[in-house]
Amino acid sequence: MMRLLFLLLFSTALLFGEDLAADFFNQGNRFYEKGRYDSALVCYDKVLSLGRHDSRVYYNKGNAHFRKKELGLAILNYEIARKLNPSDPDILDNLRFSYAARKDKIIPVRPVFVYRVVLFLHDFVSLRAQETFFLSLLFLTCGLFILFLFARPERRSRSLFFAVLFSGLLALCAVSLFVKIQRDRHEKRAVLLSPRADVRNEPDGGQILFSVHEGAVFKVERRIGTWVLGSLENGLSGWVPEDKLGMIEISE
Amino acid sequence: MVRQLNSRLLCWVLGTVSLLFAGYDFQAGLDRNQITLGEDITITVQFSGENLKEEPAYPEFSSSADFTLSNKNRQKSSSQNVSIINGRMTRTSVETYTFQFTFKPLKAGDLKLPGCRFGYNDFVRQIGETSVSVLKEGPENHNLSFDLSFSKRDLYLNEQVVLVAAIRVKQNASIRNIGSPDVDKELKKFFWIKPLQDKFEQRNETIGGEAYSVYSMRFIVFPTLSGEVKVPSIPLEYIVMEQRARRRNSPFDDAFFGGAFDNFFDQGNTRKKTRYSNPVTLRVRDLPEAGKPAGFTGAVGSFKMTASLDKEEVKAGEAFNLKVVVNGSGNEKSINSVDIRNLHLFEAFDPEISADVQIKSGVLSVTKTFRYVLIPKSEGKCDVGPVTLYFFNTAKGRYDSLSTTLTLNVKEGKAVRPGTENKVYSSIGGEEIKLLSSDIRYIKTDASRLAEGSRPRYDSPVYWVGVALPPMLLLLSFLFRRYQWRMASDTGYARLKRARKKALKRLKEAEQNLTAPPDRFYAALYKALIEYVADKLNLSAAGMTVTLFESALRDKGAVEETVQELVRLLESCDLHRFSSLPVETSDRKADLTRAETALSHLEEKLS
Repeated sequence: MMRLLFLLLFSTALLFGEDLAADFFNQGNRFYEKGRYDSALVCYDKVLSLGRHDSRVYYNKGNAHFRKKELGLAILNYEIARKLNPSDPDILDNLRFSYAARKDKIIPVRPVFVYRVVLFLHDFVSLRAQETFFLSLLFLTCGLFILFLFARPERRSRSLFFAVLFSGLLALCAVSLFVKIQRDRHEKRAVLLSPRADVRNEPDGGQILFSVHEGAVFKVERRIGTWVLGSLENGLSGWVPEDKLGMIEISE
Repeated sequence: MVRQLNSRLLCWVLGTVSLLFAGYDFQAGLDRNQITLGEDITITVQFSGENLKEEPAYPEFSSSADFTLSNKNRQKSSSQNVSIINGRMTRTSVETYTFQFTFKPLKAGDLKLPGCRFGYNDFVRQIGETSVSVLKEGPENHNLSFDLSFSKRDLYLNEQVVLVAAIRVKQNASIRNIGSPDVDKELKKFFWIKPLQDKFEQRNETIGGEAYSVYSMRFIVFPTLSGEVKVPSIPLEYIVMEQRARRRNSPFDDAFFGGAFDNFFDQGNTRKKTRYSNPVTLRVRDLPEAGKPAGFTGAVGSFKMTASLDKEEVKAGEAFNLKVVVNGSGNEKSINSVDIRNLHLFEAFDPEISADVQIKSGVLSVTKTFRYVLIPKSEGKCDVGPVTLYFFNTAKGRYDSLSTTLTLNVKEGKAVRPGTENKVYSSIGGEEIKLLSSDIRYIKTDASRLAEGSRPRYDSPVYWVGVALPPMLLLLSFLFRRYQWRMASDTGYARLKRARKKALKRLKEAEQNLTAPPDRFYAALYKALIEYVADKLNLSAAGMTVTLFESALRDKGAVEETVQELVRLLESCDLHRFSSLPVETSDRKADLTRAETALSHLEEKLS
């Protein structure tokens, strides 16, 4: 009886949380439609504070910032949304549009075609989704091998074929997952949020190497104090004050 | 310096003023008093004095309608004068300021150069206006002439005429570097011009006993303005070599050195001159209104026309090409279009027009091509045209026309709006959609199932347990399956693994026979022990004797006590199986317990 009561309370709380988040999300959308972008952003932040780190919330936040002409924040939110849902065409399109709106023309080093295809497949699903996929694939592959062990002799070769096939897929998925985990752990990226920043030769250094404008995306190489060593997609790198950057990460 | 200036001013001086006042020296002069239009004249004003403390200001010139000031500058020089009188040294410094003003004449004739006023502290000087003779052309221009001549002076608008530009230069004249007159630039307001040659042709002529070099070039021109057209004079620039003036008071200035040195070393001055072409007036008549056809669009000249279709038969709604070629002599820019009747039967696009102008043996040949894309709107045999070119024939002095008609067979096609009658045919209609602007995509509105939690799962131990589970299951499955395979294939292994279970089963049987006749109990007990050992050692139970039993166990390293115990038990079993001696239940239980204990000990050794 006690257990039943607990389950009931838990599911009600969940349902209430879901409703509240959805209400804030919808309210944010209504504010957005009326052009009240600040209010919309408050609502979207409420959804996030309820622990609903959904790509749609970050995407809508990005749109609101874009309308407010806060390009850096727009790109930051689109990038987080892409991290959560890398294959969403709306997110990718708005991200491309925002990149095109930047003052700086940063041409990334373009990899060869084959590598581009591999990268596309690698980045097609989010890390979280790939974790689930990998686990499912692992269960399936092991199940197929178990089936092979216990199968009748006449069916053994077929089950072995599928087991080997799925093993190959599992191996690729495992490598991709490993790379993704490593990147998630060690590779941090940041977006320039201030209108302009001078990139220096060393932390608080006297020599300005180059200047970049809002929306530039840095790969964070090192941090010393309040300075970050960042490199741009075109290979240029230097030290930028950390307070001018927004890290592309989900802060729960 | 002052002396040099004085001597130079004396050469051309018109009005020189030299005054000594309160230690100041003031001089003014002109470089010459006769110039040609386009040349400059320079007024030099020099002011000097001892120990001048301030810089004098520029002299002020009055305004002039004849001349314009084109340049002015100021230079300063100083000299030291040291004198020793009765052992006493006196040093004075003399500063000289030279002002130069360059004026350009605005017209030819006897003009007045403006006067000026100069002031320094209390020293003031005023110079009045000076007469200067400005010639349109210099006297040396008689050695060069530049003439324009038209093949016709009374002509129609857009009529083709030949223009000859000729430059005649006296062969012994000291004229160098004759420029190339830009006829096209100067006359393009009045004519459409096409040169017949790439460059000026040279030939020699004798005029009035004098030898001349003649440079000429021919152009085809079409007047584009009607009325009395005064062709402007075209400037021609050239360089004249001038003999330098002889040095005066020079040691070489005598009969011996005189001309020889001058001629050898002195190449003289060069002066840039301009000669204008002769003025020409043409009478350009408008095309007559009388007899002007309705389809006339301005073509003037003498032409031929051909027209052709790329297909003789098309389906309604399908495109075909009509090509009209006009060639002849005349201004191609005046051929604007050809007149096509029955055009309403077709869907027509703007024609693609190309022109080719060629000059062969000094004759201008024009080819203009009109390419029309037409789409028949209805089926059946239809005429394309008549295609007519209306033009003004300058040779005949009247309007003329060329006409041709083409026939096209239009078959049934795919109608846009089908019907039994009035089928409508057209090309694939509509304009291509043009992107006017772009924007970000709209917000997401679906609020269902907002994701909870965003962190990846790899930080959670539960996830890794989940990852480890399938391989573990697989491993266990594999071990189990291997066991199964061995049990099926290896009899000795199977007997070894099943021996204990089987023995326990036999002992259970014996236990059930505790109260039964002793032979049955002991037979079961005997069977349990013998079969257990036989299974464990993969031997035949049927041929197992106590001696073999004993030796086999010893070979396997069983404890002697256990072996002896088992031997005793077997002997006891043999005794009671085959005799009818009564045995108490308690004794039987004791034997059963001993057997179980011995088997337990054996299990450790024989596993």
